[in-house]
Amino acid sequence: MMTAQASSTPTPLNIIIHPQSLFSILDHTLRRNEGQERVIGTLLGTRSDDGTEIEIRSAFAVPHIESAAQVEIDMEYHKTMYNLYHKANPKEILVGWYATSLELNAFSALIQNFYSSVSDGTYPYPAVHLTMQANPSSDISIRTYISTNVGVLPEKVSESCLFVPVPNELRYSESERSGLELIASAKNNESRDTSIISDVASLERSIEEVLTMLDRVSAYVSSVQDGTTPANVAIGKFLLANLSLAPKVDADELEKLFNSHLQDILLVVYLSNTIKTQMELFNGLKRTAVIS
Amino acid sequence: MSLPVTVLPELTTPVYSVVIDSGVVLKLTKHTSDAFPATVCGLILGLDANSVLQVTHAFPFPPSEGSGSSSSNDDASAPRSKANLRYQTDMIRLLKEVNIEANPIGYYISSYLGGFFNQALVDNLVAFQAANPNSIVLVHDVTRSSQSSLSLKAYRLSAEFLATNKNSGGKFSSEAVVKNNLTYLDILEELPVSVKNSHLATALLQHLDSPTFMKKGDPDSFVSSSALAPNFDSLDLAIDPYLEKNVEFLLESVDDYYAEQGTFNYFQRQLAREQSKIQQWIQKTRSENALRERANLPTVSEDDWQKHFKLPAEPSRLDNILISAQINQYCNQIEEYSSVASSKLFAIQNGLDIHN
Repeated sequence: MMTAQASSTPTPLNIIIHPQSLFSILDHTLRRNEGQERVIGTLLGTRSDDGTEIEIRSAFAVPHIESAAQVEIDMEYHKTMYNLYHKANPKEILVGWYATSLELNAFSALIQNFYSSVSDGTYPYPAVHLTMQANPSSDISIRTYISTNVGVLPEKVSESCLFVPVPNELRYSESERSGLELIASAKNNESRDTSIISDVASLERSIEEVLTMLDRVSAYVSSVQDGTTPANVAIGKFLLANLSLAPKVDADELEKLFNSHLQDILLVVYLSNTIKTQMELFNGLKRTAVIS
Repeated sequence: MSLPVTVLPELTTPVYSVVIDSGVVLKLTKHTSDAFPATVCGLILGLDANSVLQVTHAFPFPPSEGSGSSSSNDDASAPRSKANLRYQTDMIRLLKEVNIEANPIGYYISSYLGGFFNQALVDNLVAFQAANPNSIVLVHDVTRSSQSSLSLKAYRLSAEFLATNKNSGGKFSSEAVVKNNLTYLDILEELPVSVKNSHLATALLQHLDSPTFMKKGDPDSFVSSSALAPNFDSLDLAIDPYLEKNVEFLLESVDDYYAEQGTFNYFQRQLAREQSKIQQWIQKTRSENALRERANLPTVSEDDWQKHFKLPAEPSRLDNILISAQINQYCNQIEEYSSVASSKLFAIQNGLDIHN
């Protein structure tokens, strides 16, 4: 007997993941107890108004014990931790759960039902399940699913679940971008670390990157002119369109703008230097006043 | 204050640098930038070992209930408010169950253009460093991070500052300041910060950068839409908003400085007046004593002036030092920023072939 659930609640069509949650999940994997194959935890985030888009913003770990016969999750922990997190971030609500192994078995169904339940689950919206393969030997792959009930036998309804894959994408806000860029700069280092660099150094780095890109493009163009590389009309048109974006400004105008800009900067720097000198003077005077 | 103490303060070895886990950096920046422009704070947990402070976890404090103009003060002192202490102990207890080190080693704050030198900072750090001398405060400057690379700095109170604090019992009189060699430049000492990725994190980053992960975009557009595409916002030329705000804050701080200077001058004038009055009284008693001795009456001691006159209390120099440090910070920011901006301007000038 098939029980088809006619859901009037919209199902998510797209899931957006913030990289911070992925890093939390990886961190949790590293800290798992001995002998635990996979770890699970809760996903928090926001849901768009019509329910078709879910954003996963953060995640926290939930201790669980899994053996061949049964699985046990600390639900109290989940509830308390969720309350604490919710106090700090009132906008984030429960949207699903994650596990760090790709397989979906009966235990996954049980846990999924718990997370979709009426009392403190994501009802009436379906819970999102995210699986992440965190095995060092293979590629990291991230898959997201939602579930629908597929009833084969009435008494086994809670264990049966059909996981429907949902497309996901990784998106980051402007704020996270600088942090992510810094972290990514370490990915090719032996020691896996990088230090916080000053403004001037990061400017140098960006300029070097632009220069290498320009070198590549000019090498490509000259090879096309020589005939060594087949010409691609689309690329050519694209490059032409971009080059015409360079502004055509009158030389005198530009010089005036440039000078006034520079003067502004120099004025402010002079002001700040004067202030600093005066502070030093005051400081010195104070000390001599006390000593004498 | 019931911060959990893991090692006796005398036995801790000093740390000289800070290593932050990559996940913590993302969490921190996400929290502080989401709440922009309000200032928020949270706690950081980690280990101090081998003269390196490792930050492994962080969590934000819930926004305080206070509303109105005092809300920013509440947030700044949040690490020690009662509600947040309870939140903190609950959180630490739960995190212990998933094998996260439950050792608070400081707290983090967000700052708007570097304006974080205030009384709350000092109070919090004093309390934290009393429990663990290696505690730090991580300051994330949101506006600067959006202009150029991430601006995350670690500070802790210098030894001179702590000594002055102890010697003068929190009052910071002028002699205590001079004796301990405390200037506004060395309230805080900065520790070098580096970010470390775990192996899995490195694998994830490589994966994100690989072509298999890039979104299947429009084939006609050749713009890379990978999550890790380089960010060229730092090459932008708009200087006015940033410099304007900086100068505005600088001028406000200078006003504060003069206001504080005024109070101190007032105190000095009071002190001078009282002292001249005391001198006059001492002269009078001296002449009276001479008269009394001749009349064989008991003399009045000259030291009795303390019973008649009360010297005004010296105001704490702490505000002055904090404001000076704040002004210094703004000036430094302006200078660093203009070095970058002027290089960009000259580069553009050469690039567009404008001859001066």
